Amino acid sequence: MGTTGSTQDKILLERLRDALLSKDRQSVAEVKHIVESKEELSKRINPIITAHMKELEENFPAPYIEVVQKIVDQRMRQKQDELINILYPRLGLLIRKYINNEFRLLRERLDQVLKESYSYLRFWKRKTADEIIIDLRPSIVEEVYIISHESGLLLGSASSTETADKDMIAGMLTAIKAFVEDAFKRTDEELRGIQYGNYEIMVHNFFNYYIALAIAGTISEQERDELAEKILAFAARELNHDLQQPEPAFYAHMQKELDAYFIKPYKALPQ
Amino acid sequence: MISKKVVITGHFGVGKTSLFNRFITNTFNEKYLTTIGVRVDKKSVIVNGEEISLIIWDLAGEVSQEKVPRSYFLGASAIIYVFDLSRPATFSRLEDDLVYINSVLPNVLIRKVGNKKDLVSDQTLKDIRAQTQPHFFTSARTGENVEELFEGIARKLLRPFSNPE
Ligand SMILES: Nc1nc2c(ncn2[C@@H]2O[C@H](COP(=O)(O)OP(=O)(O)OP(=O)(O)O)[C@@H](O)[C@H]2O)c(=O)[nH]1
Ligand SMILES: [Mg+2]
Repeated sequence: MGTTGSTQDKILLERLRDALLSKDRQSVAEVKHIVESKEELSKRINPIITAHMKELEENFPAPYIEVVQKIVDQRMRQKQDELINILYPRLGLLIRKYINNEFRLLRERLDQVLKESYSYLRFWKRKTADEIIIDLRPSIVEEVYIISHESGLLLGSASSTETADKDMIAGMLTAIKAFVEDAFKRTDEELRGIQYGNYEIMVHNFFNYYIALAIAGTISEQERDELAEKILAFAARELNHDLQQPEPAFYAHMQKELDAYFIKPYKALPQ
Repeated sequence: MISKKVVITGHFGVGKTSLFNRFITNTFNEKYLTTIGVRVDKKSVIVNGEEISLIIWDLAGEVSQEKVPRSYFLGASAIIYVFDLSRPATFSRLEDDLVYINSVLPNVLIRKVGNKKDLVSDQTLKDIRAQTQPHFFTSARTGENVEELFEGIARKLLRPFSNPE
């Protein structure tokens, strides 16, 4: 047949192929289009991914949850003291603010009631009892201590006068506190202060330490409130980290800060 | 300087306060003045050129350690359990007491001390040693082994892993 025959064969073969494969060729072209066009591809794949994500969200595999929880638990435990030391003063501040606010409201209401009932009392004394007390006797913060709850070991201190051994005072104070708290079997109540004669020790408890102020002289409710707020602010700023094993430099730093916060501002005026 | 809390405990009248006084002020009193609550004092000790401050809590005696307020033990680095060599009743509960202390303070350094050594014979000492396996026999009266007791504790607290007990 020669060349012509072979050409004819070729054409025939081509037609046959067209006839047989046309459908397939069309699908191949379609697939190629889908794969090569980003838009088309995402149109098809996105619903699948979304479905998977949803399934994962709904049935997050229990073993994963366990692992994640364990990690979180561990981290929390490691950082527990630190976290609580950060949170404690802040919570205290919040609660104080709330209570103060409620008190202010109450006082305003009381004032209102009083004014209404005793409107004939023209000469309402302007000076409060608090103010009179302050006028009479200036109070001084003589000493301030930061003491570890359990061991009674001193974490920091400052004082306006040379005093007896501070480690001993910290230990005794902790022992007395422990004794009182134990004697009354009040796990949720803590010693807030000790008074004797003209002297007072104000105690403010935090998570694993407490702050004690030794005050000479009479202190008004307002001053007491101010001091309490100052203690909270101090703790939030200076004691928001792990206090288990303080560096030697920590004591010197504490002394400086305690002095600036509590001793200097409360020096008695010369009489 | 580092500070550590050391607690002295045991039955009443065994000589806790006497050991405390002997160590801190090097004095001894024949009179018995029972301790009420706790007394805290401190003394610094130098071991191999390193200084450590021992904050010592001298507790009131109790017939059983479970009667001691738990919080007195908390945060302690060492416990000195004192008994009176001349009064067997003061070491009859020794093991129970130590188990209890260990439950409050796991891994705390404990020193069992038989005091008033000057009052008993060598034979009695031998018998009691076998029975109680103490770390020290002391006499607050003569001062025997008192420094050794406290210095040993200081050394152990400064270098917990140095020499085996
Ligand atoms: N002979 C002798 N007497 C001692 C010794 N140690 C203490 N005493 C005497 O034993 C009595 C009780 O001693 P304290 O040191 O008060 O005993 P304590 O264990 O502190 O007693 P409480 O505080 O009541 O628990 C006192 O009369 C002491 O003089 C000692 O080593 N030898
Ligand atoms: Mg005593």
